[in-house]
Amino acid sequence: MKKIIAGLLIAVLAIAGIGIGYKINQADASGEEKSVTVLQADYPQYNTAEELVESSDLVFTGTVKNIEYQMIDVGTGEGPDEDTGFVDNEEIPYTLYTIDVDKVYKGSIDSSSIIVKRAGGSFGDDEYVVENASEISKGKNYLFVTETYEDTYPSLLNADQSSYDMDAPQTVMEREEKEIMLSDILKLF
Amino acid sequence: MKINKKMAVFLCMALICGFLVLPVQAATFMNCGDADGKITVQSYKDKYSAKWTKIIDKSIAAWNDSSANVNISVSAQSKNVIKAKRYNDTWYGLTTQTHNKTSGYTSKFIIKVNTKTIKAKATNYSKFARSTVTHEFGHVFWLADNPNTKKSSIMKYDRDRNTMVKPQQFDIDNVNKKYK
Ligand SMILES: [Zn+2]
Repeated sequence: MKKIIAGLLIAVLAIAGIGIGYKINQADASGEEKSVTVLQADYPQYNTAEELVESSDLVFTGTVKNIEYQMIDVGTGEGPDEDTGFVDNEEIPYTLYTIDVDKVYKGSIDSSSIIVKRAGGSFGDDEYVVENASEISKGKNYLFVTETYEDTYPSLLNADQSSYDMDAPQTVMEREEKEIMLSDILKLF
Repeated sequence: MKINKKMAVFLCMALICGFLVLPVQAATFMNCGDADGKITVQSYKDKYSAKWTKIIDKSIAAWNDSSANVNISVSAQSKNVIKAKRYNDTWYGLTTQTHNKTSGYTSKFIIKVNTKTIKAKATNYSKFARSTVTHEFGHVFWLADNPNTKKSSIMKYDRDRNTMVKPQQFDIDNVNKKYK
């Protein structure tokens, strides 16, 4: 019994120790007044799979072959905006996913691969993190729900409801409140 | 000192669980925001249509007229810019904040508002746009997206953007925790 208590105490101290060590390291690293940039993206949320698919003009499955980062000017047209009058040609950080297309459920894709974009990415010291964004990994197979544009890459509809892992589908038991699952989308086709 | 063994085991387990559970809790605050809540934005009146000038004016007033201890003023020299136009993407709003890693204090922010997405989804364009701009200012005052609360909040993703244009009591209370 004493050994168990001693073991637990050591475990607790070790975890606490790691925590303190981490804090010290952080303080060291930031001694040089380093600045970072974060990005908050606000997207539409969808209550149902129907609503999600209805809002999309390109739904497909495929394997992620490459992930890269690029600054892109996604503004429409040069000169003053027809809605607001504002002029902006600034580039925004994006992550580009090159995908080998498997099956197209809605819309059409001309070639066997496609590049889709999502705001955020890594550029040297600047890490543009979009919070709550779903994980999209190289080599994995997903269903993507996107919107297409005439003069730039298609976008995922939002950060957390637009990519679904085809090899690890969730079970109904895991469903969180209002959560849309892969099976809900596939049922529509 | 005599330690009750059961108590000791319980305490150790509680501590371990505490360490494991803490990071999972939903955040109300981001790790960056303005130092004192008194911020400036670059003059916009000469860069926008009358309609959009009004939308930005009202979004700024929504914060300035609230009981939050914040103030947004307009200055020609400000590095902080509001950029609203049609962007080829699905987001309504995008806020980038450059901040000091140690203090979290923001030195510069840019708020982008996508009228293309707003136009496609809004039933009340002006209010929807104001809801977006007011929300984005919330980020500069440390507020995180989609707080885990049953209370009404301008930071919630599922708020009705066609009607909610002002910071809610929950938002004001949180901002005032930062700016006492
Ligand atoms: Zn936000």
